[in-house]
Amino acid sequence: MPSPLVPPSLLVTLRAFAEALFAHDDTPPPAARVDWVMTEMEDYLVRAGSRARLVFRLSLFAVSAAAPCFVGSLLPLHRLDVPRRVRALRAMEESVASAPILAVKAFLCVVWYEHPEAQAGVGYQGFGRSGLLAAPGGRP
Amino acid sequence: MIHDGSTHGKDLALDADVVVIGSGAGGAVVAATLAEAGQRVLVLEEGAHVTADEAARLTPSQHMRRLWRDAGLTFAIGVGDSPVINVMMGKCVGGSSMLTGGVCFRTPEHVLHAWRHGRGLPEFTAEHLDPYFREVEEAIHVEEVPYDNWSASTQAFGRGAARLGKPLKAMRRNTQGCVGHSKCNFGCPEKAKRSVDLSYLPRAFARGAELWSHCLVEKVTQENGRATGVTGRLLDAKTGEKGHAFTVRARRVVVAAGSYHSPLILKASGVGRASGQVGQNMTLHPAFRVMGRFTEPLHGWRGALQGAFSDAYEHERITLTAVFMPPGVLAATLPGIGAEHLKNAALVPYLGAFGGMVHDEGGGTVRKGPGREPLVTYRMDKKDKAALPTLMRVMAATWFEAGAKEVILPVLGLSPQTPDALRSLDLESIPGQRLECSSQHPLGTCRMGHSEESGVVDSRGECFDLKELYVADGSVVPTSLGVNPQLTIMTLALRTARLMLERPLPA
Repeated sequence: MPSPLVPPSLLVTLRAFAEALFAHDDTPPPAARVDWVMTEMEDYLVRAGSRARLVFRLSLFAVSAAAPCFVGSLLPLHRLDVPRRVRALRAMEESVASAPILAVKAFLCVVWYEHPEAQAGVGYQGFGRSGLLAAPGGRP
Repeated sequence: MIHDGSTHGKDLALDADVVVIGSGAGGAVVAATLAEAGQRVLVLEEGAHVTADEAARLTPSQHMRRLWRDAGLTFAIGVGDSPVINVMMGKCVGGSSMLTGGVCFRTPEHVLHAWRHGRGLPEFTAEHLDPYFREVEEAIHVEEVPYDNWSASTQAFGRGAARLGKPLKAMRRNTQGCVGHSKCNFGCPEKAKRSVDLSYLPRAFARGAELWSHCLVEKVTQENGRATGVTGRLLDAKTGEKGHAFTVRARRVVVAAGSYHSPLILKASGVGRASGQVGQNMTLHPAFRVMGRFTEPLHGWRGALQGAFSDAYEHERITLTAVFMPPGVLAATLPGIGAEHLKNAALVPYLGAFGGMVHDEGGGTVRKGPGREPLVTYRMDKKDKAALPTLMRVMAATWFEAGAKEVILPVLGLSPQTPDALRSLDLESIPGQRLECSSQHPLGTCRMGHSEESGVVDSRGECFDLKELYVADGSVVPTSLGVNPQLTIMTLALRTARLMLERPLPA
């Protein structure tokens, strides 16, 4: 059940960001993977505390409003198709206004790369005792 | 004995000889020392109690959600030409000692010299502090990281440093049985890091100390010019929302809530107003990571997180220390969105990482914020900002010397740099706002001084303007150290506790 501490509009924009950030050849990642990261991010934001939630929300709002301008659109980020979202976010990331992008990207990446498939994709053996000790030789 | 304030379900009233606010590197040392001397000690902790076994099973983001203040989203706002700084801080039983890489440096002699001659604290000599350092080092098992436990990333940087004539030195850390999971910041799978939850707090509990988690102290109570206890609120375990009230009567109060929150508690209690020093003078050791990309995989997460360091650039006020980050953190620091991001993320196994921190002049201020957390600003001193191009150049040069093909600088949105590209990059002109900066070492917001005009506490750790109120955490450290402060904080806390024992408890 969604938490009242995390408004649906925030989750819509965050999902749009995640679909673009992890898009492959302008195709968003499988919906199940995005669902998983969204569930984790919601838990993250509930636990983060009110001020941290506000900072995150402001960062995401800045991205949603400003990034489309970099590709000549006034629509909010989630209303752009994935290829335009990718171009908009990349253009903002290269600009002097990149800080909000990094804030959102950092926390999405931290969670995204904890999924076993994402870890395997970068050659990581896993976190915690079971994953680490399962590595060849019994140690990482 | 640990109690969970979030499940208490009604108002709470307690009493003790000494109440300690905070269970981190300072508070835990004080609690154990006083409990072992026979005093009734009560420790109050705002965060949760997560056992070492539980922490060992957490992923980094789960660890951040449960043990880090603001789930890792704590910042100092850069003022002027200064970056926004992400400040790592624990909010859990064990405090920030649960988040460190275990690095243990004694306070450098040149820093002690500045304390004696610049801050008017003549007692702080290496000889005077040596027995305290020894005692702490033994209690937390400080040992050198052997070369075969350096990660391939650290070894590569070490090769580059040696070729430049500045070989790395082995790091000393509080570990026992480290096999190099590189997960010190997020809960050691082997429980090898001897953080205070495994070292000092069990000693305190063995001698009758009690700890309450999820207890937010809001104010120190006082009567007739001396501290008499604290008041606050119990917290919800998941959301942190305030619940029932609690009061503690105590004969002595020790604030050890860290450099962000100790000054808030003092200010809320009306302490230190005369000096105007509370919440001022914060130093951070602004830190920057520089990564090298190699053509062969390094798998830099195999080995000790922080195996080595270099003090070869101390004259430039720069210390270099080995670091590594989980793949998600590394991937986030690489530029790109979509296919470009995925392509860069695939480079993570090929990356080496090293950190550089500045022995800063200060410029941080902690003020009461609109909510529970403080409003923290940091104006980077011009000298510190001027050191950053040197920091990036020497680290990049070391990576190239080690065989890296490109380096990734801590500049937001900047693509990886080849040697030629780096030569044409004007590092001096990069605005502070574009720098990616973090800090693990907020210090000095209730600093020691020789008088009320120069500090908040005296050299014993007692507040100048309220008797029986002590501060024992990083906030009392008089100046920036230039090295990781964990051992200094614990040593000063031990000294303060011993000096407290020399004075009888008030009736």
